[in-house]
Amino acid sequence: MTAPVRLEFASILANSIHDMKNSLSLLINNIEQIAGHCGAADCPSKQTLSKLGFEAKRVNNQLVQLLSLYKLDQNQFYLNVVENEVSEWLHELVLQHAELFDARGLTLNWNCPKPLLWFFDPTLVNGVINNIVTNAFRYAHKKVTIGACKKDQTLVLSVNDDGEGYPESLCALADKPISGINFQTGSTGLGLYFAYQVANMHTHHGRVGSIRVSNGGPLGGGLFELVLP
Amino acid sequence: MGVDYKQLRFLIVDDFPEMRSSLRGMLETFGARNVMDTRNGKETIALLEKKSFDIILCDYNLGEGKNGQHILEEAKHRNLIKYSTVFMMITAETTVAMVMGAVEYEPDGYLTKPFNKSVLKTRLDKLIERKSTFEMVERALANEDHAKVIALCDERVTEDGRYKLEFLKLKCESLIHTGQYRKAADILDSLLAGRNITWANLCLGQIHFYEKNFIHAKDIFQNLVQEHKNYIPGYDWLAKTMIAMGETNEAQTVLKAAIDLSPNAILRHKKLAEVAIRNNNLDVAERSLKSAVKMGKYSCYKNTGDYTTLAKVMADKGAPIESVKILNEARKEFTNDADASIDLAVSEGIIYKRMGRDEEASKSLEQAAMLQNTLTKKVSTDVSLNYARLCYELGHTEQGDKAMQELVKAHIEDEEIMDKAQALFADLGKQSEGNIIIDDIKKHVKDINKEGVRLANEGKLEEAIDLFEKASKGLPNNMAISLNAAQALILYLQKNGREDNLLARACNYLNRVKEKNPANSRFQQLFTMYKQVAGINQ
Repeated sequence: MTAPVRLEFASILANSIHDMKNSLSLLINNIEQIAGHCGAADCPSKQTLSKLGFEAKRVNNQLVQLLSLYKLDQNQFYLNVVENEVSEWLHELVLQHAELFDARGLTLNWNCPKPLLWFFDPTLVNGVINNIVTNAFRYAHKKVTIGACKKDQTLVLSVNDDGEGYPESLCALADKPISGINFQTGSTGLGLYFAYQVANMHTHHGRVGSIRVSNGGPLGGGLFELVLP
Repeated sequence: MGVDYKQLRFLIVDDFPEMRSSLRGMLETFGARNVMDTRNGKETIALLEKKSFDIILCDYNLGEGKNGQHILEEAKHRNLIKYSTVFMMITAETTVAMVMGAVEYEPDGYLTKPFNKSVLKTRLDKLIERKSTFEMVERALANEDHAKVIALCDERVTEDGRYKLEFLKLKCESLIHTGQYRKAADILDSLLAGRNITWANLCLGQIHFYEKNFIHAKDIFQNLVQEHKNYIPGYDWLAKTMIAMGETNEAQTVLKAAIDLSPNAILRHKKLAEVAIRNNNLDVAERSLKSAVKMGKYSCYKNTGDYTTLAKVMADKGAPIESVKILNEARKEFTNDADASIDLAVSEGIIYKRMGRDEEASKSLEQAAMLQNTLTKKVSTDVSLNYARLCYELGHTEQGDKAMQELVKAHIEDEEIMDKAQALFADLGKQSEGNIIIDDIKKHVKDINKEGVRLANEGKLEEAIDLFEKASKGLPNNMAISLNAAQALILYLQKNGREDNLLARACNYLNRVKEKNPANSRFQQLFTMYKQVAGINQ
């Protein structure tokens, strides 16, 4: 007889996530498919389906965040900075959300000069922006815009919506989410904490990445910015 | 950019039926008509042996058996998929198994679940476009034609486009491959002045390594892994440099760190075992070899050597019973494999000898010798070395000398193998006898080359050709002689005009070198000259 196998928590986590992601893939794709089938724009199911899709995405974002933060905590997370073509990367991110936005009657725009090459960890930054976009999906009235541009030798990624904007407490906390984190602020607070961590990990020639949370921008609602050196 | 999905042949690999049909559904909405699917590694490899595909979508996690990476490795290793095939790995999570550059073969891209059909479509379009951008370079690389790779990259790099950095990377790698270190270093230095790019640091370190500037190389690799803790090639090269500097204990620590980050790379486990054996750290060697054996079950890197080395380690640890058990297990894993049978017979002999069971050891040697006679191709050098060792240990000095002479003759130019040969002689207390064997052959080769070059310089090309070709019969693996034979033939052709018979012979010698080291700079030069006299444009 062999000794009982001791599973490492990391591999348990990896296997569970694999399973959950399979289910989420099917869930999200089927929801999109059904939403596509109910042709009429005023079909009442469309709104409901869009909400379902949104919840599935939230679960996915939380999973990504949870795993990343767990690894960060365990000192197992290492940055994978590579050169990215930002417009291609952004386009893919927008496509991932397009159908659900459409089903809720929201416009998701994006703008980015092309080509724009920048160095960052695409998986992590993807996680951050996905979070913010999913959040904007919930609070926007009509429009959300994702933008990318070069400014003072940094890359600024922004998510702007036309909703009510972030509460004051969150805007204040963006500089130091570690001390301010409060689970009463819910997933938004945790999301900002994650964004702050990711920004902090990106450094170049002594400069460190940062996040800014404010209200206004061209759409007048919440404005999130991730600044990468 | 319009990609015609109707024309493309797709393969979906996933163990989960729902995922297969979901993917298939997406592909069909893009217009794909030719879509096949498989459920596991076994089915996939069997299908790839028969059919070609343009695009393979493969899930990383396939349950029991081979995973997606095993499939990719075996398929590339055995040339079952071409450079023009797009291989996309689908993963639940990007970081678990695929630490940066930890693997020998990388897929064309990773796609993280969940994704919808628009994302899949854009990604596929992008990869297909990318493939066509790189097709010429990849073909040149597949043919190991580095001069062409460099020329093609130069054409592309001037345009300040999307793939500039990637072309520069390929160019630098080809320059390094062909020994043009200063040119590569200039490019790398100017790149690194702008951004701290991991691969550029790695290349720069490699240059210092090849120029035997080990202290500098070590410094670069050390900084690299400090800054990029998950960049596995940095660890591999740091360990390699430390081994070259004789710091095998430090190398062992570095390899261990790399394995902790990326536990699934079988070749790294083998390397760690090798270093651990040198450090006489048998516990570590045992653990890594056991991992290698376990992982090898589904891998194209499955090898008797792992079993035999493990068996020897167990014998050295004073566990002969387990040692014999491991060899028996290996016999079951490698039935109908003559090469493996010799390896096993020889190892068994060595272990019996260590156990003091000389009679059984002799029997094993007899069996190995008999098997060797039936074999048409050469056995691996490690097997030859073990064979010679067993001969010597059992007192068959003449038989051992003969085996060693053959080995030295075939690999006189390979420093690593010569080191191993010398280590064997030293181990058996036959240092001076060993040196005589090695020096004799070295001198023999040197004399021939000197004489041939003299003849060629005096314009006696026919005599030079004759000399090199005769020498080559006895030393068919010797690169210097093959290169000289080819050069003499090419010079003759340049002088006297095209002659098919001589061209074919020159080609044959060039091919011998290409097989051993296609990046050899003299080979690359001669190959260009050869193409000119042969009138080949490509």
